Amino acid sequence: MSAAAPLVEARGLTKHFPTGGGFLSRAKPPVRAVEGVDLTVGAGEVLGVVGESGSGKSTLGRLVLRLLEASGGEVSVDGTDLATLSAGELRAFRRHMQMIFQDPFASLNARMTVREALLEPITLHRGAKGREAEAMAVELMRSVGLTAEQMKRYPRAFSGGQRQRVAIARALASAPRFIVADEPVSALDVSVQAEVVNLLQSLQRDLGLSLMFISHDLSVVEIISDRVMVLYLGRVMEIAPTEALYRAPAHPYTAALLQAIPGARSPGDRMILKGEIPSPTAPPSGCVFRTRCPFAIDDCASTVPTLDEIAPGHQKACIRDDLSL
Amino acid sequence: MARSETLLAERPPALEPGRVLAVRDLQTFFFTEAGVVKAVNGVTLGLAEGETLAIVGESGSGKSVTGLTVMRLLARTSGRVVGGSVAFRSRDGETLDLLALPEAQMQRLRGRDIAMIFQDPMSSLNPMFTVGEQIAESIRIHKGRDRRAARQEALSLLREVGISDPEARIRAYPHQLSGGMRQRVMIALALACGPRLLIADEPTTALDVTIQAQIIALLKDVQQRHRMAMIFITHDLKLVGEVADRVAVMYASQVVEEGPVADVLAAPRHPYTRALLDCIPRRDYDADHTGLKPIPGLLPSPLDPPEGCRFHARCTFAEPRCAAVEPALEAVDAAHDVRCLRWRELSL
Repeated sequence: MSAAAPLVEARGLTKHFPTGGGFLSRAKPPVRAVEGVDLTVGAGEVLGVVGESGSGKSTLGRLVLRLLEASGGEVSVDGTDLATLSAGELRAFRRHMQMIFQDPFASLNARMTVREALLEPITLHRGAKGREAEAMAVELMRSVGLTAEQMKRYPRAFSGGQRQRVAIARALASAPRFIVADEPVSALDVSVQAEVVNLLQSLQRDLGLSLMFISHDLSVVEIISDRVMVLYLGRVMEIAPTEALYRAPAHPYTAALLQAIPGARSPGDRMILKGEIPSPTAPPSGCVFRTRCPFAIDDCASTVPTLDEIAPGHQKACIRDDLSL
Repeated sequence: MARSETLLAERPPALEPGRVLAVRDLQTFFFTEAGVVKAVNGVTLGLAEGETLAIVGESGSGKSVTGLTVMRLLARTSGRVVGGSVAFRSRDGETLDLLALPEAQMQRLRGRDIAMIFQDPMSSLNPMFTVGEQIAESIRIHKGRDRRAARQEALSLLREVGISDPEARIRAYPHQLSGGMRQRVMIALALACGPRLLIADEPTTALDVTIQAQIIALLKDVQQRHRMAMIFITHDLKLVGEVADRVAVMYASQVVEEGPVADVLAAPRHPYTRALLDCIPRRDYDADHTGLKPIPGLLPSPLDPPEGCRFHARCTFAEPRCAAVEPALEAVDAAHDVRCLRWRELSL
């Protein structure tokens, strides 16, 4: 799928958020939200990103779009190093990369009709005016399964699923090549969720979009993704083609996540992780997952595992090669 | 004649031996400015001792309002019970009509006989008091223990719900705990007085899957140990198979199907149940799938439910009569009910 150069390439992405401290108090350790993540998204490829809350997956999505300034590392999109762009250049470049949020209200202005919300990026980024712009807006509405008639309405007049369709239409309005979707269906009822997943999938295929699909829901990620990255405490635990990752997870954390999907296993046959994700201000030494890993050995506390290739395109960060998961 | 009728009406509804709860033809309406929202409209449910009944449905189906009505927690809303009865067997073996009980008596029952946990524990925990104080208070009120004994019981409850280092955590305020930890505290609080019935409303929805697995395991464990019946309200049909013995599927304020979990999930008789199952992404998905199967159309407005079968406009099996005739809940077999005019002829 990504034989050519990837559309999106990130290297060593790191984000530390400072926490308090300052004038008179001693500096506190920062929140290490993302720690040295490499990733690529090929043209027309869907990269799924999964992890629990606190895994850094949303932060990673924002770093890749440079909606957040990274503490380290670099991102290039279609050969352009985002860090080299001035603020103005970045704004213009944003037409190529868009974001869809869990809450569509986050990307829709409540005081703008859907028509206005769509025309803005169409005129700004595609230079279309008047009837031409109007026709593009209608076409966008149709592509997400809504009618031209509905363009007159305000976002609040739509149901949750329709509103997410509007947010998708707006994200597509600038004809981007890359979209980061952060939990786009998590707030929706299952019947509506299925519609929006199908819509995203067909748009992605028809338009050849590159998509970074961030979700805590492994079942949805499996359906839509070509490859899946598993994050824990801001580090990549495993990354693999979807089929390989779900059939034969190589990292204990991936295995635990998969087994925790309701209905995936009989509960007695399930690895239930102890405890909770540790604080990102004080991540464990060595492997960050070791405090919850049922397979941890002494070495795990002292050795930081590297992300090693175990099969083509399949990498895992775990020093234990003797596990059958 | 008139007199005997009154007596009949005042007699608490009957409850068969071995049953803890029987909800009959419950109707809870909300009187809003926009109109009357018939949130629960003719719901009938039963629960045996020690049994878990899952109520599954999408948002607005009426599943949560059903739970709140049984707990009589609608007082501060515009919701009113318009009809039906809720028979409950108290720990003293007495059958009570919860809807007719004076509030003071209901208050004694809440916590002691019936407890409820919610999706967001912060909404039921008091931010001003430590976790230990809140559990101990409940034990003092309902079981009449002194401070010392209550604290000891609180400690052992925290231990039972898997809270590590309970001696330290008992002094924590709710905001100092993680989401999973708070839900454990809520469960400890619910268990404090050994209720016969626990109503759990989406208790794991806000949690990560790994924490959800922990909480589900914990709930099942305490349920068995305390021989407690449970109503598990959820939107997640996948969870139902893991927690429940029986499942009631709700759609647009009504139960459309009810039966043993294994039967309903493997061989649903209502087209809505089938449709819900089909739009869930599942691990046994075949590789050349053609996408998820969404349910066409939208949930009907609760202000203006459709005539006939409430699902007919979205149902792939609907016939003209489905838009006109309201189906009754019919028995497929002794344990399995369905509300569909066509259930006999459909193979789903």
